[in-house]
Order: sequence, then structure tokens, then C-alpha cells
Amino acid sequence: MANVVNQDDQNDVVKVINTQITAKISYLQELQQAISQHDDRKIYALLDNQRYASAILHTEKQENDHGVINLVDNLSAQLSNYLSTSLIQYLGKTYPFFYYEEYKQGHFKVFFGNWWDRREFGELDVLNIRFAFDQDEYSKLSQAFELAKSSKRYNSEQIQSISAENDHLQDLIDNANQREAQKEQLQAQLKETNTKTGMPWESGKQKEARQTLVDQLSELEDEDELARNAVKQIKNNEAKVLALSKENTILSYEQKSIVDTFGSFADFEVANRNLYADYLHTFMSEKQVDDND
Amino acid sequence: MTNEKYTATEQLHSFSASVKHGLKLGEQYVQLIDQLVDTEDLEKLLTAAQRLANLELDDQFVKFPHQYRSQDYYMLFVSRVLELHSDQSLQLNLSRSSWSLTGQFESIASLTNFEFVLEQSDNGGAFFTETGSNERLFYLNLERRMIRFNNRALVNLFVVQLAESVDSTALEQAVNPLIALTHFLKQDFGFSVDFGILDAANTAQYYLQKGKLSVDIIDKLFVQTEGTDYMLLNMQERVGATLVVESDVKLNLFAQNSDSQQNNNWLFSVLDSREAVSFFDVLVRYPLIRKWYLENRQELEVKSDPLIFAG
Repeated sequence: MANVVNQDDQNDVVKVINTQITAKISYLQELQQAISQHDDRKIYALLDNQRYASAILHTEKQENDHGVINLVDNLSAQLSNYLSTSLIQYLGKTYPFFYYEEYKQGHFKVFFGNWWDRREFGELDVLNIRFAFDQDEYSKLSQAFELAKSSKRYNSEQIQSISAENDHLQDLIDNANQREAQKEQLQAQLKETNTKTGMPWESGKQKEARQTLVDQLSELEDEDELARNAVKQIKNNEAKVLALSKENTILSYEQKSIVDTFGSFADFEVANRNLYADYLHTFMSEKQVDDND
Repeated sequence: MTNEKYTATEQLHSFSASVKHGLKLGEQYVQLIDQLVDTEDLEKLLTAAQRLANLELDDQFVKFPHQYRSQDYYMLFVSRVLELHSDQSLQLNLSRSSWSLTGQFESIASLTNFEFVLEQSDNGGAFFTETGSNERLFYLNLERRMIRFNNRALVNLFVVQLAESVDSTALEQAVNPLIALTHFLKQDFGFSVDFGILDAANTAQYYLQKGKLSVDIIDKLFVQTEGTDYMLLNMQERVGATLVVESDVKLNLFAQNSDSQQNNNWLFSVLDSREAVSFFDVLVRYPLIRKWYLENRQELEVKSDPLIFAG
């Protein structure tokens, strides 16, 4: 078979290529210009036209042209770094309790609060203007808000039960002398039972009585064993209580921050959902740009 | 005959020489005391105190039944230095029965009494000591021109013993003359000084005796501050915590070296724009911090000059 090339097809292909290249070039030129003017709103529109159209222009079903958007995929770290300046400045006002650390170019850890041992709360996704919260930490906070409705705190039950255990352990330590006296008494009774020879029909009862004494003795010895380890256990428990109390304190500061800023956890969640639109709208009120994109 | 006569004369001469020596010593003694009490010249004052503290007055031929003790010249010196700067806050009491000199500060006069206790080693010097508790607040050496505060004793006396019954203003008033004295010694005589926890400069670094610190101790303060007006903050740029105790007063507790986790020495610092607040002030003024400090004192004890106050 000879290589036969259909001339008409070829023309079409060239046309397609030219159109595509023109589209790519104009996309890149627009992006370059937006970057040189620090027109962040425009940059966001170019990076995700579909979302921008739906969230800001309210025009549905405008699909992203992946042929152009993918062109800058390998620049996401740099773009994120570039766009972070204004975004973090904005977030500084709207979420005053969050702090950010760029642990590698374009990647930001979010810290909740400036207090001692504040929590790392997830990441800031700059290109998508959203928080990617750490799910464990987020759910703790959400539960803390839920518990607060019934005036409870996240770790209080656990703290209470550990403290009760510590009280019990302390009692075991304090009652060592009392146990010693009880043991002596029981041993004496046991001796007496052993030496007493009763009537044959009494032997069942006697056995039973002996067993009761032996059981009581071994219970006391178990308590002795517990008491021997109690000092260490109490210390361990105290460390646990401290860690749990610290978490309670952190959660209380987090709750307070959210209430002070947003009024409620629900309002906080609404704000998170609307962050993209709310942020990009700030550019429009700043300077009246036309929405021809 | 002549020989015997000669011998008697010689003996008399020798006797009179000895008495003269004793009298001369006594004359010197009263002259130095006058100097200590009257001179307005700072160097002469220091010389008088130094010489009196070292003077062996008792002589075989001339006895002085009434003398101050060596350590009392330290007290007189301190009182005169303050007086020359119009500070009358150290009140001296002479006990007629024992001829010993003690000092008092007005705001805590009913609870405390101070005297100097001589250092027994060859290093010389004396400790300013509270007589009831035997707490040695500072060491003073006139020859070597140095003064060193003892942080453990300051905490024992003022923070443990007195803070419960006396308000912080009275405690601060009591230590003020000691701080002033130390400033004068430095500025007038060029003493080498260590204010310890009384140092109000922002550059003052109060290192922990233990060096290392387990962060649990900071967790405890963090938990205790919940529900109060204080919030324990995470320090920026350093491993440590900051407590804003008043709008203009910050207490920091941090590791000296921010990179290495090992062999880190921890220290307190207190920052305020007027540089008027010391770690001592923070301890006596804020019950929350005092309670936390005393509960964890083994870990948080602030170090003093180890050459003078070991351990």
C-alpha cells in the first residue's frame, strides 16, 4: 500500500492545529498579561473558567478547555506562591485566627491560632481558593461545638473517669495499713477453720466458709498489687489528664475564635463554602472591571 | 645595779610602746568609724568599711569592751551608700546587749530582720541574711567589688513566705533599696553586679537552674490560663511561649537555641517598654504565675551565680 494522503483531510488538520495553537497562544498571552498586571481575578478566571463562570458570572455549563488549561500544570507551585500574597492578606482579615506556613513553594500549612501548641489544621489550597482541613482536627472541632450546646466539653468525660481512677488508686495507697490488718484477721480465721474438726455433716459448710476466706484474702492481695503500681499509674494518668485538658483548652480557644468572627460554627461553614466567590468579588468592588470573560 | 635599772626602764619603754600601739590602733579605729559615718567621699567610705571589717582591734594591752562586729561594717556601709543618695529606707537597729547591728525595711519591718553574715572562706565578703529564715539574699565583697543576688533565697523569702501575707507593692518597696544599692555600687564604685531576678532590663536573661525543660510544664500553665484574661501564646521564631500579663508586660519562656532540640538551655525574659518590670515583680504581682512557678519550682528554678550559690 502506497502512502496516500487525502489532501482535503490534511487541510482540515492544519486548520485544527492552527486554531488550537492560536487558542493556546492567546490563552498564554492573556495569562502573561494578567500576571504582569497582578490581576489575580483574571488569573483565577483563566485557570478554572468553568468554576469562575458558574460562581461569579452565574453562567452554567461553560466547560474548561483542557487544551489550554493544562499548559500551565507544571507551574502550579509557582502560580500558587504568586497568588498566595493577596489571598493570605484577605484571609488575614476574614479568618484572623488562621496562620500560614509555606513549607515548600506554593504549599501552605494552616495553623489554628497563635496560642501555645496550636494545632496544624490542614492546608490552604491557593489555586482553588479553599481550605483543605485536616479531617480529624476538623471533626474534633465540630464535635466540640456540638457538645457545647449541652454545656459539655470534648474530653471532659474522659478526664472525669481518669480522675476517678486516680482517686481510687490513691485510696488503695492510703488504705494499705487497713488491708494489712484485715489480712491478719482473715488469716487467723482461716487457721481456726482449718484446725476445727466439725461433724461430718458440717464439712460442706466448712469448706464453703474456708473458700470465702481464701477469696477475700486473694482480693486483698490483688489490691496490694494494684497499690504497688499505683504511684506510677497515677503519674501516667496525670499526664493523660494534662494532654486531654490541653486539648480542651485548645478547642475552647478555637470555638471562641470562630464565634467571635463568624457568630457560629454553621456560619463558619457557610463562609468556607462561599470563600471562592467572596474572595473574587472583592476584586470587583475594588475596581469596576467588566465581566466579559 | 645599773643593769637592773636599765632593764626596768627598758621594760617600761616596751610596755608603753605596746600600750601606745594599742591606743594607736584604737585611735585608728575611732577615726575610721568617724570616716565611715561622716565622709561624703565615696572612695573614703569604701576604704573605711573595708579596713574596719578587717581590723583586729583587740590588743594584749588595750581592750575595747564595746565593739561592732566585723559584719556590721557591711551594714553601715550599705546604709551610708543609700543615705548619700538620699535613700533612707534601710533602718538600722543597734542591739545594746549584743552590740550587733541589724537592718529593716519599712514595708516588711514587722516580718523580717536583716544582718550580714561573714563568709568563712578565704574569699571574704558577707551575705545579707534574713535572720528569722536564714535566707541569704545577696553576697557582698568589698575588696573584690562585687555583689551577687541569690534567686532561690529571694523566692523563698518573698514569693513563698511573704507573698501570701503581704501585697506585692510592699514586697516591691522592700526590694527597691536593694536594687538601688546595686545600681549605686555599679555606677559609683564600678562593682561587678548580678541583680538576678531583680534585674528589670529587657536584656536580662533568667536561665533555669536545670537548663532543660519538659514542655509539659508549659502545657500546665496553658491549661491554667484558660478562662482567665491571659492567653499563653506560641513564640514566633523560637521554641517557647509568651504570656502577655499586661498590655505592656510580656513574660517569655524559651529555649536559648532555636535550631537544636538537644542540650537546649531554657530561660525566662520579661519585656516592658519602660524596662521597669523584673521576673521578681512578675512572681509577686501575678498569683497565677506565682502558683504555677511554685508548683513546678524544681523545673523552673532560676539559676544564680554558681561560684557563690552552688545548686
